[in-house]
Amino acid sequence: MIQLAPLLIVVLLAAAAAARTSAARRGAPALGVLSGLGVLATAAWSPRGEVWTLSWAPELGLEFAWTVDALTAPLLGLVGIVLVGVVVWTAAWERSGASARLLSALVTFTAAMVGLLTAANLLTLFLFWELTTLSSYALIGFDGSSERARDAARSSLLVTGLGGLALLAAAVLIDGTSASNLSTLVASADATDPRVVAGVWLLLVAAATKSAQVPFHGWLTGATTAPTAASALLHAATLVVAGAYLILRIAPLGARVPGWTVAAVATGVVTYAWGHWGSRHADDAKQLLAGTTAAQVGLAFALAALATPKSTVAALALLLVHGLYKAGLFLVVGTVAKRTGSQRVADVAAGTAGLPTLRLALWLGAAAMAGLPPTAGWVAKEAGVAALASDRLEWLTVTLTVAGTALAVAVAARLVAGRGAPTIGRHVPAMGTAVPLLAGGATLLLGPGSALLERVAEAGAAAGRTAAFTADAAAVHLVVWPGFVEALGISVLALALGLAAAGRDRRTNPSPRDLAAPVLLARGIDRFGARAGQLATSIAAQGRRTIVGLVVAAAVASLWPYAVAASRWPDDLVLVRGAPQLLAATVVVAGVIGLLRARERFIGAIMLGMVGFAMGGLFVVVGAPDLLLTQVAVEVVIVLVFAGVLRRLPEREATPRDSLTEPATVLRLVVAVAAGLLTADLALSLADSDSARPVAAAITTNAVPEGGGTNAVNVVLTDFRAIDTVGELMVIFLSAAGGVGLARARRRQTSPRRVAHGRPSRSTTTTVRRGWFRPPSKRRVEAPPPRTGARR
Amino acid sequence: MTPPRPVPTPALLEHAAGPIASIGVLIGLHLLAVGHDAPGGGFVAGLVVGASVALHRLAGAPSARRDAPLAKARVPLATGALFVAATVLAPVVSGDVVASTGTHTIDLGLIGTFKITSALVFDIGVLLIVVGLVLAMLQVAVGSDDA
Repeated sequence: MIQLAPLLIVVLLAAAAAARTSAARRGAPALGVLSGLGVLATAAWSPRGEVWTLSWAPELGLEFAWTVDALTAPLLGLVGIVLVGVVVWTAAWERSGASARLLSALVTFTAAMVGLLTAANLLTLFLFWELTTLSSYALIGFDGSSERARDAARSSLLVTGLGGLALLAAAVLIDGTSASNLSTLVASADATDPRVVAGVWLLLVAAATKSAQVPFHGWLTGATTAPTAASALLHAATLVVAGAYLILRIAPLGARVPGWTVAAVATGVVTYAWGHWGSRHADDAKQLLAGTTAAQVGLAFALAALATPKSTVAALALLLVHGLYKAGLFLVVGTVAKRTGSQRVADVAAGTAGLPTLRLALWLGAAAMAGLPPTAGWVAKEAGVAALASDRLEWLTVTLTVAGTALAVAVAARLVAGRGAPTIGRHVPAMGTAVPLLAGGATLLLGPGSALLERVAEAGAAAGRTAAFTADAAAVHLVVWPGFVEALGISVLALALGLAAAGRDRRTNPSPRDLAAPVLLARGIDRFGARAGQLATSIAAQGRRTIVGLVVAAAVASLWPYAVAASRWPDDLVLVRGAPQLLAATVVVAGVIGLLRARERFIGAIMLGMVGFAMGGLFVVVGAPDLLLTQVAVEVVIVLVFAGVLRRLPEREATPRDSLTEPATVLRLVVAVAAGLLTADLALSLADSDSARPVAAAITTNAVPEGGGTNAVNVVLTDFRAIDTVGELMVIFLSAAGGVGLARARRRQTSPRRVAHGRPSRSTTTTVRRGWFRPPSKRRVEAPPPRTGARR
Repeated sequence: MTPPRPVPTPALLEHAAGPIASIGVLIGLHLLAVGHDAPGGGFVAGLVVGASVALHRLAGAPSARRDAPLAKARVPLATGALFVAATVLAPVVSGDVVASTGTHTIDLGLIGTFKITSALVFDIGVLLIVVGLVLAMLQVAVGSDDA
């Protein structure tokens, strides 16, 4: 029977696609709400623990698997509730249909998140982990015209992408031990196996990047460039939760690896303090909220890693409660920003003037964030602090927890007590205040009504754990008044410190710089994640030559040791087999020399074509008709493309002729020669290396019976190695899609409509900076003249 | 980027472009059909068809350019992706291994027999995606209007 979870993912993706079509744009909000309800239904009615698998390459033991258990279900429910909330909130502000693109992106992200939460093995987890990275990239960089948004999106992509690579490496390492199923892995993996140990550490890195834990937290503050609705979904209830969720899953295994628990708990509590500290000086309200998100998820992260029954229950409760109130707070800030045009921290409180419901929502959210009774924020935080305190507790953990909790109070106070005076502009629709109030109200009611929270969190914490653990977890109580316990003392101390800090902040009104992370090293770590995108941008700005140079240099450097080790030329090396081969090879070399010496682009194109067709001649000589056909066809297409490009370019290259006195030229020459030598060496060595068990015979004998074709090359491409072909097709598809995107963007840029609005002429002279692989040059950049709308 | 220099198309080429492109498409389809048993296959076929369409658009008569079939890269790209996805996932639905091959031979009477394999459907997808790639490159290179 088909399970609900994978079906839901397909349906969500279809809904996301449908929302973009012109027919459904007006119905996009309805599609969004239905998607959220679908997630809720899946959470509610999926049979627990049933695994649905999709076989991919059974010979290799690779399959995709999904399941919904008691841990997944509440988190799915949170995703569904928040999605419905943000969709309703977004739709309230926009003209019908205007927000279709945003809603579509939100639903796409939700599909990825559902896949991540329901993944039952590491391969599936990795796939959807990367999909959440990609779809959140699209959401963070949603405003593509803002350079800040683009940088932030790249930063998040690079940092969480790094975590994705760690996850992939972990999956490969652990798969080698044939325990890729998450529950089997956690229950029975051999924690003395070095592969498992390395894998579990890598999983910690992956979780830390996704949950924006120190030192990877930098991307999250930048990520607030996303539309508010996206922030509410991503940075409260879903994306950052993924890391803590992964820790919840694997903590029992981590506990068997020496040092892992300590490292994970330390990461979490350090972030708990650090994130709140950063929020204390944030000027932008959304950045303030993002900092507290990293911090609160950090506390859950630490609790999850501790993996005692008490801490696990508290971790899940904290994640659920935090998702609710933080989504509400993001929407409060979003409403204020739409109303006043300002999202400065100081303006938030004044921005709620005249709207008692909105002000109430702000106060409830802030109270939950500060962990004040009787909100659910208090209940979850108390349980967390109690769990940390009851474990053999290092003084450092206590100190950091007190600091984090105190700072949370100070940050919440900043939010409700800002003294700005923004101008109130736009009318606020009813849902602009109702949705945040519902979120705040829910966190308030869940405090006294914490029995519900307790039941859900206990069931979730027990998922996949031992019977003893389950019994202990069932004994944990989430209550507003736990009695006079150690945790209460810690909370009171933290509250007092926090109020003191808030009072001091209010008197001195510190500027961001006063409070910026105090130590130089700390400042560097803060920037580490935030600036990753700018680094990538600056590399990209170096130009084609530099990028190609860097890529080739990196390839040479990484392959060189292997090439040296494997270098083994065949003993019976024949330099030339007959005159035709010599002729073809001579033409290739002549073409390359001609290409290097050509001053005019047209001549260069002809030389390149000469090389290509001569290569075709070589294929004739060795009797490879398939390769010949492909080579010639590719050359023809290249000629056509060149014919198009050359018409748009100056006849000669603008850059001065390369001279060997220029260091950049010498560097390029060295890299090029090294790459050539390496390739030749590899070709010679590899041609002779697999003679022990040639695969060719197996392919030719099996082509007809198994592949049903006599052309072995085609059978390999379409059957034996069809999955590889699909991978190659993806590359082709993506580059073609990129091309289409470029062409469309250019058309938009030069569309007559824009020009009619009096854009200045875009003819400018820019000095192109000296690059690592490129001499400096001045070049005149001219925009194409405005199209008149008529076709050529 | 400078605007394209107006280059007059030779009249002979302009008139020949249409027939050459048609023949090219036919050759491409032949390569596709025989690909499983003889040199050819979806990739080469896609390049040949793509080059033919490109030639038609670059050199054909202005009226022909406007009505050129498959002019938008999006169409073949998306259709090809659907074909590929369908062939890869179809065996899963029937409970088989992903991307395994099935064969069916039909008798076309005088022309001979024609063998339909799931590999052919897969290759059609490959062809369409490659055609899409060629058209997309052309759009970027030439700056043609339809994306």
